Amino acid sequence: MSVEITFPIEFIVQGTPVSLQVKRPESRAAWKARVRQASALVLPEGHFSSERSISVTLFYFPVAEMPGDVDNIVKPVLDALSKHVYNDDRQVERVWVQKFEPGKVFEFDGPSETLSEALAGEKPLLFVRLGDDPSEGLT
Amino acid sequence: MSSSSSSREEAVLETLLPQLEAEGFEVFVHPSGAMLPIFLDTYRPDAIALKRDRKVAIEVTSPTTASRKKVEYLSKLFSEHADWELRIVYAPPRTSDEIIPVASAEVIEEHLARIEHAFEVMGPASAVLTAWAVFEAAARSLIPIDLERPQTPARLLETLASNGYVTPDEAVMLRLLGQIRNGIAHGRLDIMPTREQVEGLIDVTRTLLRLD
Repeated sequence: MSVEITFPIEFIVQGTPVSLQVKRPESRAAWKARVRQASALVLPEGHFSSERSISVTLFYFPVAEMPGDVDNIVKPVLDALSKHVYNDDRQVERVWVQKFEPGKVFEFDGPSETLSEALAGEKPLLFVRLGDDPSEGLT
Repeated sequence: MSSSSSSREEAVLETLLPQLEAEGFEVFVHPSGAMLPIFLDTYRPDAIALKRDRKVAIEVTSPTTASRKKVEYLSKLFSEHADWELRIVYAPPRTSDEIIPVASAEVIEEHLARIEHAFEVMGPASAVLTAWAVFEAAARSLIPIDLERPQTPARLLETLASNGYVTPDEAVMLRLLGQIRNGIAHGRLDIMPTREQVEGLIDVTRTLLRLD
């Protein structure tokens, strides 16, 4: 039975996010496959790609200082979720991407179960949250 | 001058310029020879600052043997010419780690071949320490600027994985081996890599060499 996705969804992808520009295309393909596999764990079987507006939260927890820019994380993840969670990248109205490097202190008020799992989990990992409310967090 | 010391020099000069200009100086970064007095000969200051009654040559320096000799030479040179002042800006890098030169592909290959044939003789601990050193050398040959200083295994893998030089699955394998390598390097002799793990590291190193 095909069903609509109920947002928000949250999941964790283990490993270091791969940038868009890479010398080994198989690395990017493998990373995208990881993202899709991780999302499949929280999506209903036989789901449709959503046509709703999408907001994306990407929290990366590296084990060492990130050498590149944090925005390099975004495009491969959005590509991996396109035609899977949503029909087209253009539905994404907001992306919040942040890195949490070792040696820095951050506070999380009331983290969700999945975010709590990410905070406690073995690093590196990427926490992903997809919502259908682009105004989420604005007020 | 390495790219990192050059960029540090530029950063230091950028912080100095507003102050000098506020003091009424006109500042010229990397001045041409035509702007300099003859007594400087081939020496080019990093910047000069000029106003009506003062002429200042600015040299950004760091704690290296070459820098020390240069400062000694310049101090003597300027002491003989009172119309010019020498301002030394001491800007040590945040890390004292030496820059490591890039090894040639031939040298890396030579070391790889030794590891493959010497695992039994050297033992797994020596093999993984050497193999990781060769792996880091191969990575440095691909990304010389980012990896010009000694790398922790964690940072090395973060750099390689985020740039896609290693696949996510290879990164998982290497991360585990990096922990073993670190433990052995710091005296943990109760953990040893398997031959398959060291061979996996060699395989990835060869892949990096093919990407060069």
